[in-house]
Amino acid sequence: MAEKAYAKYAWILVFIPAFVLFVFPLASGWLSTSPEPDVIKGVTGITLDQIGAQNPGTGRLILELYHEFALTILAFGAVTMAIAAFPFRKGHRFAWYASWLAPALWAGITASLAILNAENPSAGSGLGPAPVFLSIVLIGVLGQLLPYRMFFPKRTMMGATPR
Amino acid sequence: MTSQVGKGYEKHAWILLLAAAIVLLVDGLLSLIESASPSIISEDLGVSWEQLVGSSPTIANFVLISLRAGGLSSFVMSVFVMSLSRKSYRKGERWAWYLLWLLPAFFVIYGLELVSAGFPPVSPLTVLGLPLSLLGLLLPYRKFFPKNQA
Repeated sequence: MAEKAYAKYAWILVFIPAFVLFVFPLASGWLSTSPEPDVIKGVTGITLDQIGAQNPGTGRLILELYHEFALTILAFGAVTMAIAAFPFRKGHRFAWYASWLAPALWAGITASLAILNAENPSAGSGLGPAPVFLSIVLIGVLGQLLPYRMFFPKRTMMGATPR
Repeated sequence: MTSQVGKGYEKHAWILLLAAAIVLLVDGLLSLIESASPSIISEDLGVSWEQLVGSSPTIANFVLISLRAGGLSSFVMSVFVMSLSRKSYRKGERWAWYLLWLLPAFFVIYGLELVSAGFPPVSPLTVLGLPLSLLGLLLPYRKFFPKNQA
């Protein structure tokens, strides 16, 4: 009975990393004309405005890439939230496979920040709170693993039919 | 006969959404290819890639990181949209119809972003992705919202 309850509500754990993905680009101002000034200065040594003053094409391209990334992450977050709330919750196996991508993306972000921090020690923690991101990864992984038997039931004498 | 044709295009409209997602997937892969051979983007940069690396290696490195991040996220999102259109949307689940409006919205906002950044709004995402996704959503409208039968 207890096993069924944690499997039943594990979709909420899958929903959380997706929700943070959706909110993160908005909260971090990625869609503004000056996205993450600390990060850009930490990595390049100068601000985006200074890059644009040195070379307008490069400044423009960085801003465009930033905005494209922000839009993709925002949409990805929305799609992942819906997958968690509908097919994952219903126990559709494709949703279980697809939902691994959100914690994988957070793991990628955490690893990238760790590499950037190592390459740019002067930027310090300005490149993001890695422990927070790591806990988001763990929440997502937990949400995937807890309801494992809901998606892959043990074979009975009658056999199990995949959804 | 007409209803048969109607049923046919409603039934297979998910393929148009799948195609729009494939356009996004290819765009993501192109960004990854560009990050592997960045001299391709010299025209967008306004200087040659070699000049940028020579004068500002950290900025060049940041451009590479941005290209990889954009490419990977487009790739991942397209995989999601493909799996949704092949499963939930194909089955006619209404929430999937609402959700997948994100795709044309994404392409429109992307086109506007290009314009605001000073680039022409002509890209595979806007020229191919937008019409494909709109058709994929509008053609099977009656499958998701059937007329009330008397």
